[in-house]
Amino acid sequence: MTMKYQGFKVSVYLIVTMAVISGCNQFDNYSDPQFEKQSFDLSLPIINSKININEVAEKDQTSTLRIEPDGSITAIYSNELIRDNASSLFPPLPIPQEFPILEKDFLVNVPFPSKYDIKRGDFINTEMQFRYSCDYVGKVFINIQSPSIVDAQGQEFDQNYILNSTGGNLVTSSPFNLDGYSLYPIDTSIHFIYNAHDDTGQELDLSRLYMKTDYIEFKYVEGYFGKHRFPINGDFITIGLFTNWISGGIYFEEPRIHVGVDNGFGFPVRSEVSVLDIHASNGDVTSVQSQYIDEGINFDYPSLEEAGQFKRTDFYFNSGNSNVGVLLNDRPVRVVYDMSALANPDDIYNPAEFIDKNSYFSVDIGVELPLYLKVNDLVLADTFDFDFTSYDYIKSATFKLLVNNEFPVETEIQTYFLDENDKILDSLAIDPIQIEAPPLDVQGKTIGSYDYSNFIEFEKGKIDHLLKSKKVLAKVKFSTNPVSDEALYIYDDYNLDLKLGVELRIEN
Amino acid sequence: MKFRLVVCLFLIGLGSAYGQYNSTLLMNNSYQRNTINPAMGSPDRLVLGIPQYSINYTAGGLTVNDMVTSEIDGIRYFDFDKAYQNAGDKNFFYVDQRLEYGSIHFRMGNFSLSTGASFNTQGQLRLNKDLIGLLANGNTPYVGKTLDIGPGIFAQSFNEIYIGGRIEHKNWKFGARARILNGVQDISTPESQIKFYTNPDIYQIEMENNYLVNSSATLQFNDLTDISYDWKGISFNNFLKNNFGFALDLGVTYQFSKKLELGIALLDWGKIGWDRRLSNDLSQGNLGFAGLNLLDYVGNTEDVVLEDSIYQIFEFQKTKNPYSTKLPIRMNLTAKYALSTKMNLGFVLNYSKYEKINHSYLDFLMLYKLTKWLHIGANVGMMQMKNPIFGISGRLMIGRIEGYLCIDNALGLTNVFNSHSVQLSAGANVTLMRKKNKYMEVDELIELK
Repeated sequence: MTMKYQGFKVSVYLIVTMAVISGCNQFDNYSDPQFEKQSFDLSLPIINSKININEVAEKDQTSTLRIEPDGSITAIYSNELIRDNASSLFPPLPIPQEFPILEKDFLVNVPFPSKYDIKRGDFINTEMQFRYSCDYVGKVFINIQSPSIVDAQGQEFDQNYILNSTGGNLVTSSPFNLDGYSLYPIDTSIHFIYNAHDDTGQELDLSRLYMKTDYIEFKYVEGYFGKHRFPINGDFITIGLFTNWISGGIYFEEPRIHVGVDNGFGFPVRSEVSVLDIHASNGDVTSVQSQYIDEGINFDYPSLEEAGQFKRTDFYFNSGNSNVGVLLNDRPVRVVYDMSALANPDDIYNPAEFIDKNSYFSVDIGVELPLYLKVNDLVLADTFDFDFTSYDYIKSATFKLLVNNEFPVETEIQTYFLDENDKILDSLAIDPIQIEAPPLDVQGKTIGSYDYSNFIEFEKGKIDHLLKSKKVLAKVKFSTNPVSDEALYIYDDYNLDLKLGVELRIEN
Repeated sequence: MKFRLVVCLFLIGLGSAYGQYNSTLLMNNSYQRNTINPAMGSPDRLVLGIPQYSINYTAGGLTVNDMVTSEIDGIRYFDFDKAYQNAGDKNFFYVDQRLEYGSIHFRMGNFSLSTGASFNTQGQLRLNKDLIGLLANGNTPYVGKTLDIGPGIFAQSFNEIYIGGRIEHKNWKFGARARILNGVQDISTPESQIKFYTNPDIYQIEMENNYLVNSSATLQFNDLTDISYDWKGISFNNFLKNNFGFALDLGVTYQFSKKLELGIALLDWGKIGWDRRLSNDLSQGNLGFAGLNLLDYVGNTEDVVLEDSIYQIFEFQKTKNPYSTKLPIRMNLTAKYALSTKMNLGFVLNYSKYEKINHSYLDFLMLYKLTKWLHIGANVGMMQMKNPIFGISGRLMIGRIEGYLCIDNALGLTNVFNSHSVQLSAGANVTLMRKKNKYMEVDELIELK
């Protein structure tokens, strides 16, 4: 009994000990699980877009849209504004030398540009100094006046200086700021009158007197500025519509090139176009022909009474005055231009011209393509690099395509998978996906929408081709012909809903 | 999330558990009974508790091996298909551990005082069946159905100092324990709603989320694909300075007869305020992914990456605000019956609620006095009123030194990763001053009689 009892106790000890040890050891021996090869099915959305011309234009930096009052749309391709301000036409005039005043009543000739006949100039940022000496020894009292320099109250320039003369010392006065003074030159000269006397009132002659300024700058100039040319930098406008053109075309009913000018300078300006070429997608370059290129465009300008205002001129090269109607319907990809502006082109003297410091002359040039068009089997294509090799865990796929089209354009879409040598390995669908256009009402506007839905299966063979491909070629054909023989407006409330989802069989 | 991380979260620390001390109920005069109910304790005048340790692991719905394969060439794999087949509606893995460094208990007449210190860890990971189904099958089988996939996480560790009192009045014993807590680390999801819907149209992913991950000290949560564990956050140098908490344990027992003692206890009634190395990551509102808008790529040369768009759909917003977590409150109902001078019988019902999961544990206990110095016991019961448990226990008394070991599910211990429940506790104490004869336990009264 005792042995049995002892055996029972030992057994209990052993069981308990082994259970605890075994429990602890399990943690040591248990390796971290890893993710096993698994099979499952994923359903994911890929594309969900509501495409509207307005939103496309907002995203596309190369073009803007103008919505006309009737809801029709004009696409505008343009560049940044070109602007010339007053300082480029009448820059500050540097004066590198001193002007001697040789007599008590003397005209100092200032080298203003010869083509300018300045009648009035309001100074800004301009300082004037005088340097003087006298053979007399002692205190010399100097008065300098200029009837040509008058302040806003009509007071002529009149300044007094005291020279402690040692008999020949040349002294420079403090700078005098001419802001608030206007210059009324006599031809191109400034009239100075000086007087000098000693402390007894005895008149003296200065042995030397100079007028000195670093430069002359005006904030407002009146006069006649002569016939001269100021360049406007050339540039080009990209029309992205045909970048990926393959075949077919678009016929725009009323395409045009717009030249808009804001002119704050008070003199006549005429355009002088040296280059206005339209580059087609096939490489052809054709110059725009127009009498307005030969003769120039006269831009409006403010009169002397309208100083400070801007005058707007909008000119259009269109089918009526040029060949742009033809050229812009021949798949244009770029418009290149270079032009100058000709001031006083007829050189008729008018002293009532002006340049204000805040004035500028700005030019904006744009290509306007009203979306009133016919699309004739226009085919666009683009190739994208795409490496599918990392998606080898996809064993099959079923794409679900849903389209809702309100545009009066029939569309065919096909996508090809290419190898590195551009050889077609397979296509998204056997036949191109064809999205029809909804019918038109009597005004040529679409009624309702066309709904399209399709499931596109990608079984093993197709998946294998997909994994081997290195590029994707997307080809899209647009056409309005099936809808109407006439040109059609594209309205801002047309939408294209494009939705694509996929069911994937994953085995990894 | 790596499995190692989950294991770390649940095993690094050492909390009072709800099942592992049940066997001590029948250990008369043992100071350790105090853990089940603060009204219970030793009749001895001065007892020194030396370190005791307990661990409790509970798996509801799935066991670990329900989710992984057997070793294949030394490697185990997650097997979500197998997990989905075995999963219940709510599946959880719960672990708590407690290491009591030491304690002192002394008694003056009908009044007892005790004090001690411990380090605790408790944690739970809840996985809804919908989430496991999504991982196993993908979302295609669930197109047009709303799935509830938000996983619930609750894992924290804390230091504790307590002081407890016990008073006896006629057949009643009342006990209370005040606990000062110092949080070491925490990760919890007070809000865990992720309603996941795949629209039949073109499979747009639509979610209705209110998912908040709070963490303190250790977890760096960037997004669902970038979670890391920062061990530097664990520090013991901020005791009583940061992450302060307070909890109460309350209990009462009633000596119904000379043979029968009934008891009820409310444990872990308190909370910890977390204010150190904080992170709150909130995914809230109607979120999802409807597909790429081609217009976003007009005039844009950047690559189209579908995966990035999908990973970002949770749109977690990060803040660093203090927060608090309640301790999972627990209730113990006990009954002890002295069948004879040799044998005690007992019944324990444990109930608690941890992060949307109700835990229940029903235990029938027996303790047999083999000799004066060796008592052995056994218990049978049910975890979650579903999974059977069988436990063994032993108590060894040599002079004034007493030790015990309880394995409340011995079968589970032999195969932890296949088991729904494993509990183990061990400890010892030294009685420095014996009891006076008037303080007798039930079976001793029977013996005296």
